[in-house]
Order: sequence, then C-alpha cells, then structure tokens
Amino acid sequence: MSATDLSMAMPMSVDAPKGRVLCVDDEPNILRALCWLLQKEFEVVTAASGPEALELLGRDDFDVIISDHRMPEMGGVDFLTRAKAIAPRAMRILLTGYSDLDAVLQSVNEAEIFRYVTKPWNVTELPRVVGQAAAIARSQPAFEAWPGSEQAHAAGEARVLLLGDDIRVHATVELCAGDLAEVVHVTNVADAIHQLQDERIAVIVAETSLGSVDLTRLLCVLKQRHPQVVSVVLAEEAATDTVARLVNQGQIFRFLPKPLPGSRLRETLGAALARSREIRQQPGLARRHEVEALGEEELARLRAELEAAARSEAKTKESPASSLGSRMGGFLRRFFADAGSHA
Amino acid sequence: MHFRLVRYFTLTSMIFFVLVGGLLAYFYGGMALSNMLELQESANVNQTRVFANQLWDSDFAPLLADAADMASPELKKHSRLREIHRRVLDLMGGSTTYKIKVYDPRGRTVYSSELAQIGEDKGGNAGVRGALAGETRTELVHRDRFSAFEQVVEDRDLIQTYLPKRDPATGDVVGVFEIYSDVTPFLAETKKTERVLLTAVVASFGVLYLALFFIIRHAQRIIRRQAEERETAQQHLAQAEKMASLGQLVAGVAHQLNTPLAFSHNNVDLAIRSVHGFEPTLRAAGRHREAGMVRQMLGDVLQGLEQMKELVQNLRDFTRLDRSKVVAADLNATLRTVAYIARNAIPPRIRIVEDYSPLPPVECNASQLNQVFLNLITNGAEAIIGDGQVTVRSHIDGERVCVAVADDGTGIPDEVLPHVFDRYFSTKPKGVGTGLGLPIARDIVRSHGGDIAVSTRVGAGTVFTITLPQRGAGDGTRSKPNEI
Repeated sequence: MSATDLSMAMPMSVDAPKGRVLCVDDEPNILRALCWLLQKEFEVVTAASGPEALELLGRDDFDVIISDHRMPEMGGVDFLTRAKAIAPRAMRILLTGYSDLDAVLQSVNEAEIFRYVTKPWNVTELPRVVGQAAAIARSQPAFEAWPGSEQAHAAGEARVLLLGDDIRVHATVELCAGDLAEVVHVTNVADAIHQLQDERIAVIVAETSLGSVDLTRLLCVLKQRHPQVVSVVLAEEAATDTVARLVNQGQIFRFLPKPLPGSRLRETLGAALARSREIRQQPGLARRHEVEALGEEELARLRAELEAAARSEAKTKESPASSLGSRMGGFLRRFFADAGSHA
Repeated sequence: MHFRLVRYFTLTSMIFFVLVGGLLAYFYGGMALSNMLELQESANVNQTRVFANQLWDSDFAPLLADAADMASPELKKHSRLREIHRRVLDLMGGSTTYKIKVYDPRGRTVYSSELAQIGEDKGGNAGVRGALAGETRTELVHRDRFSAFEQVVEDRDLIQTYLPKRDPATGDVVGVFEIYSDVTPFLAETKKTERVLLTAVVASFGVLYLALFFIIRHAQRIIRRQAEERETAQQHLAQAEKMASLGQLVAGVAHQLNTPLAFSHNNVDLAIRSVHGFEPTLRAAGRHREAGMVRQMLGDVLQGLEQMKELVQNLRDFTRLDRSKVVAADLNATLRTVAYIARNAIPPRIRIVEDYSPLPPVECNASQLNQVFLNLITNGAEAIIGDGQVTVRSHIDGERVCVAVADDGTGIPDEVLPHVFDRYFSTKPKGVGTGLGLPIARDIVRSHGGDIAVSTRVGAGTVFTITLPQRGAGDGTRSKPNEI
C-alpha cells in the first residue's frame, strides 16, 4: 500500500520517536496529512482499511491507534473494538468528519476510546493528544501482565454512587446491583461530592442533568478529581457533542439510554466494577482515562449552575437545610479550588 | 374533493319529501274518491230500489207500457205524469237526490224530474246503453249549473248512476233509472281532510327535515374540520420532509467537506511552518521576497480554509441532525448560527444586528426553532426596500425566554396584519410565497408551549416576538415538535 510505503519514505525525525502510531483511513490524502503532521514526533504507520490495520496490529506493537469512522470495508468503531482485543495497551482515538450519534455512542460503549476528534482537526492540538496517549500507553505494563477484564465478582467493599432524582432509575439500579455492590443514592450534588470522599465508591451512575444542573460538566470535573471512579451515564436524549465531551473530558465508561434495560445495566455495572478493581490493582491504569481539563467558561457555567441550585435548595428548605446550603457552598469552594489547581 | 353534504342532503330530501307527500296525497285522494263513489253508488241503488218498489209497478210500468206506442210530444202530455211527478217529489224530499230519470228499453226518456227532458232520446248515451246491457254505472260529474227539483243549483259535484230495472219474472232489462245525487259537501269534506293530511305530512316531514338538517350540518362541520386538520397535518409533514431532506443534504455536504478540509488545512498549516524553516536559506539566497510571498499565499489559503470550516460548522449546527430532537439548547448559540446562515440568504445591503442577553438553556427542538428564526429574519429582510437592518434580540422575561426579530422595513398594512398567520395568505406573487411560513412558524412555537406575536408600524418596521418557556411544554415538547 502506497500510504504505508510513504511513511517509510518520509525522513524520520532526529529525536527518538515518542511512540508508534497507527493511522487508519480509506482516504490517502488524510493518511498523508496525518503522516506529515505526526512524523516529526512519532513513528507513523498507515493502513487504508480496518482489516489491513488489524493485520498490522497482529504483527507489531503500537502505542496509539487513530482511526476514521466511515470506511467501506469495516467501520472505524468496529475496527477499534477489535483492536481493543488484539492490542489492549494501545490507546484508541476516533477521528471523524461525521457527527454520527450512534457512532460516538458505540465508540464509548464498545470501543472504549480515549478521544473523539473531529475533522478538520486542530494542527497543534492533535499531536499533543497523540503525544499524551503515547505517553500513557508507554507507561502501561506489557501485554502479558494485562489483567483480564472478566474477573470473578469479588463481593467486596465496592460501592455504587447513584446521582439522580428518578425513582425508577434508583429502583432499577438497586435491583441490578444486587449482590455486586452496595448502592448509595444521592439526589443532590453536595451529597454526591461528600460521598465521593468515601474511598469505597467505585462506580458513579449519573443522569445527564439534575434539576437545572447540567451533570455532564460535573462528571468531567469529578473524573479529574477522582480518576479511579468509573462513571456510567444514563440519558434519554443525547447530542453528539455532549457525548464527545463526556468522552474527552469525562472519560465515561458507558453511556446508556433510558429507559434502562435491566440486563444491560447489570452487565454494565459488573463491567464497571471490574474496571474499577483493575484500576485499584494497577493504579497506573487510571492514567488511561486521563481527561482534558474543562475550559474556563465551562467551569464558570458549572459553578453558576451549582450555586443557583444550592441557593434554591436553601430557599425551599427549613433551617436545618439552610445549613445544607452553606455546607454545599463550602464544598463548592473547596471543590473548585481543587479543580482549578488540577486544571 | 369537496363534498357538499348539506347541499346534497337538502336537494335529495326535498325531492324525496315532495314525491312522498305528493304520492300520499294522490293515493289518499283517489282512495277517498273511489270509496265515496262506491258508497254513493250503493246509496243511489238503494234510492232507486225505493223508487222502484214504491213507484214501478203502480206508476212507471204502466207509463212505460203506454209510452211504447206514443210519440215524444204526446208523452210529455201524458196524464199520469203529474201524479208520478208529485209522488217522486214526495219521495225525494229531504234526500241528497237531485234528479231522477227513467228510460224505456229504447233509451227514450219517459220520465225526468226535470219535466222538460221527457221524451228526449238518450239511446246514444254510454251510461244508458250500459244499463240497458245490464250494468250499473256510476260516475262523478261536475256541473256549473244544474236544474234540480224546483231549483237551479250551481257549481255542484254530483254522482250520476245508471241502473237497469229488470223484470222480476224474466230478468230482462225493462227500463233504466238515472239518479243524480249531490256529493258537494261530501267532496268538500274529503278535500278538507286531504288538506289536513297533506299539512300534517308536510309538517312532519319539515320537522324531520330540520332535525336531519341540523345533524347533517353538524356532521358536515366535523368532516370539514377533520379535513382541514388532515390537510394541515399533511402540509406540516410535507414541509417537515422538505426541511429534513434539505437538512440531510446540507449536513451530508457539510460533513463530506470535513475530510478535504481536514487534510487541506493540515497540509497548508504544515507548509507554512516549512516555509518558515526555509526562510533563512532563502534569505541567504536573496529570495526572501519570494519566501514572504509564498507565506502570504499560503496564509490566504489557510484563511480561506478557516472560513470554510466556519461555514461547515455553522451548517452542521443549523441542521442539528446529529442531535436528538429535544435538547436543552443555548438559544443564543442557535441564533448566532441562524444569523450566520441568514447573512448568506439576504442581500448584503441589509445588516443583521445581534443583541443577546445571557439565557438559561431552553428545552427545545433546535432545528425546528432554527427554521422559525431563519424564516423571521428572511421575512424581515424582504420587508426592507433599500438599505436597512434586521435586529435579533434575546432576553429573559420572568420564567420565559423572548426572542425578537425586528426590521426597519415597510411594516405590515392594517388590512394584511390580521391575516399574517393565516394559511396560504401571502402578499408575494403566486409561486414565490407559499403563505405557509408564518403559520408553520406559529405551530412550531406553540408546540414548544410558547407563542409568537407581531407588532408593526407602517413605514417604521415590524417586530415578531417569540416567547418560550424554559422547560418546554411538559409532554408537548417531548412528542409534538418531533412530528413537525
């Protein structure tokens, strides 16, 4: 394939490459552009289709896989899902010009991608993201030491934190969690932040909004603060850019549609708990879910929403609850001080 | 097809009612008449029998026997006649019988209560001939003038009966009686009953007709309303499909552009950096002017690509096909996108001024609202002759979010204003305006639980104001906007 040859023909950078990157796209122009963009820092190998790339993955070890979504033979998400099995250590990035909701949902739930990048990409940003991914991949243990994802469900200390005000969801989660973990149900953000101080919280299950608070931003901040907590998002409605943000800035583990099919939720909770155990056993794994910091504007918006929610809560409740409002205010200050320092 | 239920019903039922009423009256009349004839005939027969029993043997039989050999003028002077006439009058007094005549077997009048007629030959008369052959004949006749006993009556309905008189021994017809009896009051009675009956029939049919008319008219209204609703729904569907397919096309094109944009942008950016790297070399070779030129060229290309990126991004945001139907959207962002798109759809002499206040997220079907906003902006631009501006504003009004689109155009004349939201009402030439833009805009806004209002001043401009609830219209936003 000419694109593959091309990478060999390109002059290599003088510095030692920061990682091996596999680019997959059916458009040779894109492959060339990616090559030219990334070759200075990385060793770039290209493939024009999913099957070709899978073959390369079988032969060679890669740190980062960048794949297009719309390809004739094998879809990008499909390819990345298979790549996950063949090369679990490699970080997966989906690069697409189409904002297809199904594709982005699958890329979360099946391919477990590291980043969702839209075409046209940012010329300074993409090499940075690839560099971050490569660094994470290189910090990971070798293939042999990779923990199996299907571990026995050790009935343990693990807890599931459910954040939301839908009673039906609570009942379903409670039912599905059953013997897997204890469910802690909270209906406001302050309680959620408080509960997260508990080290046993392994999984957070949240809806996309709670009252007037957009929880997607909060989940992003929470992931930044508690990288070991695996998050599962439930939503009735979704927009591609919301899910994309939850991937890039929230590194959510699953995005499930509402109403919830019980069996799927149980399966998801099991997998989330297993992932959490893996991360606890090998803290290095948490790095695989490193997130992009939320922008200043987004943070300001989240803060405004949370403060408004705290105010309205303090207003509606009696004196003991007004202390809840002030407690919440205290939480917020600390919370944002921390988030700010992380960012 | 437009079915005029009430009109057809009126026509058919009228025809039917008239027909039935007419037939009923006709049959009743006929039946009453034949009944009367029958009754009167038997009355006449009885009367005749009375005459025959009382007078035949004593008076008529001898008269007939005498008359056989007498000429008519002599017959008139027959000595018995006076006596017979007196007795006949005695018998007839107080009865409805007006006249009685007796014919001999040849058909000559041997006696008539109108004495002048005695001797007349009625052999050619069908009634007389029939009676001579043995038949009893009865018919209803109308006489304007009639000489009854001792008087002349006028305008009378009479029953005329011819009766054969047989010889009791041989059974041969030996003479004929002719009797007239008056049925005028009887007939008048019948006519009156007929009229009452007809009135009753007409009245009951009228009531029936009215009842049915109201039922049918109600039905017609329901049918028409349903037809209108169906038509509205179909138009919405058609419009929605048009927008959806157009949106799909636009979104498809926008997305397709992303791939060439991606590598073009990437490569030009890299090329500019390379040129940067070559600059010292080129400067040393004395070709720094060329280097600067190339950098500028590539810079322009990059700028062009940036513009295309912006356009593609805006098109994508405008169609919002990647989103679920109802989401909590930032209306200001939506308005910015619409304004961007609208700038390309209106003449450059018209400026779009954007003036947004911070808004909370609004639960809505953004692609539908985009359609509404774009429609209002282009409408506003069309109302402007020459230079002008369309102002798009947003602000919060209590619990509701307001978006106002104002133009400084011609304004809407008073006679047009009440119709701006009417379906198919358009001031544009046929084929240019569908007259559906504003009605559909209003439907979309209402389905979001909001409303649209218009205020205008001729010569100064028009403001369309949309108010939307922040949280949508409960179930309304979740189901309805998706249908449109």
